[in-house]
Amino acid sequence: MTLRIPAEVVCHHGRVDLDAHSHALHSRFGKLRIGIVIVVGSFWILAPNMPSSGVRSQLDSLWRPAEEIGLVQDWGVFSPNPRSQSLDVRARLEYDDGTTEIWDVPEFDAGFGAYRSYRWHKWQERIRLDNREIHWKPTAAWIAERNDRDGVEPARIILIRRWIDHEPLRPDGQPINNGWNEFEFYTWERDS
Amino acid sequence: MSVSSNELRSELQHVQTVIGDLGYRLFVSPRSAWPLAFARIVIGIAILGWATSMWFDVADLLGENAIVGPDFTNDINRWIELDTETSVRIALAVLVASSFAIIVGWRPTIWLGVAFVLLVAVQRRNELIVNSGDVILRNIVLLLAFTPTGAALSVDRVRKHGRDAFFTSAQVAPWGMRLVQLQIMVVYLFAFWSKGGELWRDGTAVSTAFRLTDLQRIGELDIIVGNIYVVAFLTWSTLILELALGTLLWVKRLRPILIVLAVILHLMIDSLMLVGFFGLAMIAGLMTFLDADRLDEAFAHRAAGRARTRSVDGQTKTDVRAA
Repeated sequence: MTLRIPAEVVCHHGRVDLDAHSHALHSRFGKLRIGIVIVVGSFWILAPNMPSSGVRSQLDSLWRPAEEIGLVQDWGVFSPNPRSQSLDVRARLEYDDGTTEIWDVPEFDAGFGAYRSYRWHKWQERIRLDNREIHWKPTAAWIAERNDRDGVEPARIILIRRWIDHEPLRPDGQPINNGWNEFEFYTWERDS
Repeated sequence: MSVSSNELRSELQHVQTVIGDLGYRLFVSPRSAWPLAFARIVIGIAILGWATSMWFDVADLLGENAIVGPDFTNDINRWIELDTETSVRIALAVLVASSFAIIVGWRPTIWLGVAFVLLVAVQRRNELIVNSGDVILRNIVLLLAFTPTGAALSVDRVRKHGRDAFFTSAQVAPWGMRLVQLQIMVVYLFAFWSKGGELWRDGTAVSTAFRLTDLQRIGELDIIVGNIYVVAFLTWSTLILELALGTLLWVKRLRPILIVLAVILHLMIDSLMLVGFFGLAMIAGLMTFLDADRLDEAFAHRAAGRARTRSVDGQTKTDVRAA
């Protein structure tokens, strides 16, 4: 397979105008390299998306190099259903004098700020999970450090999961959003 | 019925020719690089937006004293270890510089490679804040590095052929572009495939998705979450469109309408939900499906118009001088 180039379209100011990517097709070695890139690249894009199965997990190692370099495939957005809960994580800060404050993730404007907000919301979505327990203590300590009063950190920090259950839309078009629920999932003590 | 060896050989040769021609058309046959140039510019803008929006939260999300400390960084390959606020800021500054180089088309292949490495390095420093948009952004950046994105509308082209060449395109082999196109179609196809839940089937999924307060960009819109007809239309049309984009983008005649519908879908989602850079990265990938021949004609027409204007101007000046 050679690169057949119609001369009338590749000339600019009378010179052959061929980029390096296309030029590689002129040599046998170049064609081999391109062939490998196409075959391996296509496999790395397609294969990790196959449904979970015993066979698939046996083949995982074949696309691990792609994941190592950063070419990751996972496109199950809002699937199999959108989640039915709005999520939030906040902290209640209790000071030595008995007063309390609430810490929330920062909120930004809906313009450029939206491109910052999504990261904080993603953090909330993940930090609340039980399998992220390892993060809870450092998170509370981080909040404590940033909310000291005259150099004295809060006596206690309580991390709270909050959520709203959303019922599916009814045929009469009435969306049902229940109120916020709360669950205290971790308590940090300054003096412990 | 027996088949002679000569007939069999001739059949095989025919099949070989057909496959060869198909492979040639798909991966080799030269075409103009306009679609790749548009993809390059859009992905450059996405990298610029990603890096600048990250800049403001470096101390809280990525620095040595961030809410998720360097101790929790994933063991997976990070390319470069960015464990201090200063190192992350340097990486982001280089990302901003690379985005400008990519947008203007100055050695874009190299800068796309640099951008990919830095995006992975920064994202893997704190994977708790990464969403699908961040992942597709870096995937498209990497795959575009295998394409001649600088072969049109680029500084490289001007440096090589002079200023007039900016609005001209080289003819390029499309083998690298096919990987970008495959990635885009795979995203749509598997996004459709995975939506097998009850809410998608009964036509109410969009209502639930737009009621999630943590994903709302501008609050809750009654028309989208409470009108059963609008909700059902948006839910099922999303499924149909994702399926069509995942399977029919190869069909040349359907491409223009599918690209327009996909861009509308992404703009709608982007304007209403906190999805980061997902839409912009997908739009960059969609640019590679633009019709290279039509763009070639449009730019040639424009160039001819400019040349006519220039010659008329020249004549007028000569006339004035003669007078």
